[in-house]
Amino acid sequence: MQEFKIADQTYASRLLIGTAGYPNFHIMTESIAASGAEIATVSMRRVKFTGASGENLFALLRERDMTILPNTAGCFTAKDAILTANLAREALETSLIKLEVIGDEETLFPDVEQLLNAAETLVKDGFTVLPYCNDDPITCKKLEDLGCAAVMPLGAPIGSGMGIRNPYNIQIIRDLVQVPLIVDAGVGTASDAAIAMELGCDGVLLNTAVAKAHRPVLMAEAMKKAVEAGRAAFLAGRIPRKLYATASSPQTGMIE
Amino acid sequence: MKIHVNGEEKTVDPNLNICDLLIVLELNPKQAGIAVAVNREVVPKTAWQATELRENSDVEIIRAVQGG
Repeated sequence: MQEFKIADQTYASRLLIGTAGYPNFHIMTESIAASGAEIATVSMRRVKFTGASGENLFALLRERDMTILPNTAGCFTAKDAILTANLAREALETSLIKLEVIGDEETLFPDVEQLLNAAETLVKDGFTVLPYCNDDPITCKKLEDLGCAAVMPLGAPIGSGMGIRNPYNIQIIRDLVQVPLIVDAGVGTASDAAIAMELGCDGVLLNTAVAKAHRPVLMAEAMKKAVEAGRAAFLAGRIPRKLYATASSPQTGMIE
Repeated sequence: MKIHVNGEEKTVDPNLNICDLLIVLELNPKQAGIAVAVNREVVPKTAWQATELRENSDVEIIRAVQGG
């Protein structure tokens, strides 16, 4: 798979970026630009009636021709996630949904049972479902079989910056599923994103690693390069690991 | 009549439709990027004018915010 494609749309960038937690709106927009990402995630929340409506994120992302990927973050049941997805489709005029059904507040690990139920309903309702899921090959396979447009296993817990905790599972998932494989959550720095791509992932979705970096715009640029480098390395094919040395310089014609 | 909007109780005129409610709340019904659910069912924009609220209607008005 040379092209990165989601729901018949081809993207030049394999980095998907979140819009939360930046020091301010300006740094967020600069970071998104520096990342080269063409897909940005948003959450759906109640409108506040405090008078000031604040920045219009939807309008801003639209102006920049970004693909908007609404999430169902904060939902703990399939029922809530389905309603949120339907509200997002109506508000943002997109059938894309980053499906999150959380099972536990402390770890933010997915509730697999609820996730599979929600995915099934949303696929039937015509959504393009991108599920945030465990790095469990069987769950990923089931999500693919239900008709999800991608699978997005976590590298580590959301916002933890712990990197790819189980690269072997990610590798098995790569072998098992045909749909785009995107590592979502856990990336802490550029090398984590590169590792995900070197394992054969089609993309990386991250937020906190950039938003909470000391210099978010610079980290966004680093992530862009890491995703590109990791992808190139995967395509190039790494050499096998060996315990002992193999000289790279000629062994003959030495001075005596 | 009393209705609930985003979890807050509000007293509004009887048989208010969704467009009217948005105007009462100082929201522009033509503004892109918002969606409305009544009693946990999404009401499409095209049906806002025709959808009248009832006593105890539970209204959610949502929009996109920064998220990961």
